[in-house]
Amino acid sequence: MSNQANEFLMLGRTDAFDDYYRSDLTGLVRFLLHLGASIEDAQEIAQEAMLAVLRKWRDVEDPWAYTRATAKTIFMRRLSKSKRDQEAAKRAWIPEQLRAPFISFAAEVESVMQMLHTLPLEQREVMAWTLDGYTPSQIAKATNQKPATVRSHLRHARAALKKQLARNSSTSREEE
Amino acid sequence: MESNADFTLDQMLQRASASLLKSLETTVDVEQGLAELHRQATEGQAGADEPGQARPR
Repeated sequence: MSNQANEFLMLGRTDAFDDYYRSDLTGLVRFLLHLGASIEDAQEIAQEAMLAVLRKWRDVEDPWAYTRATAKTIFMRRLSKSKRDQEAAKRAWIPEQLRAPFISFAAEVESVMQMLHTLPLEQREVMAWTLDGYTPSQIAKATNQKPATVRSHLRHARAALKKQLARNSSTSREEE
Repeated sequence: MESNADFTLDQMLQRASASLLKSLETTVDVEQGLAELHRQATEGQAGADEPGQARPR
């Protein structure tokens, strides 16, 4: 094995990275679920983003923000590929796919996920960062956007969510 | 009225977010993921060090 590979292994196996991975993997999966990924995609993308941060471990200042930004890029790539695949599927007959095993979440979680899914992607992304504890300025820095743009997405997202919440509670009152 | 709606939304989001994390902590095998990640990193690096083999972009 080359010196470079040995060096990589020593750096790659640093306790600091392992500690980071253990502390943030499930949070990163949750970030991707908030973004709209399926549970299977979220786990795969999180792993891919973690591999990217491991490879740049020495240069990355903020691994939490770096993995989230990387994970979002990978998710977007998958989304556009899946759109292309769907278009291809319309042209060619394919057997029905079996659904991956379903993991059930609490009813309130399902409801929030559904509400988030109705938002445009840019608003959903800002909500996903916000739910991970990031401020608009931090989100702007991590996503290369203007703070005013982030605040605007956040304002619109919250307004839409409140509207849905009001609609849901009036529907459940009518049902009672 | 407005602040009440904000409060209700924040409470719901926080509860759902915490509950989701809890569910994931019981279903995601972190140690297995970490071992797999190191295996992939080692394989990727060893492959890139092979003479005549391009480093993955």
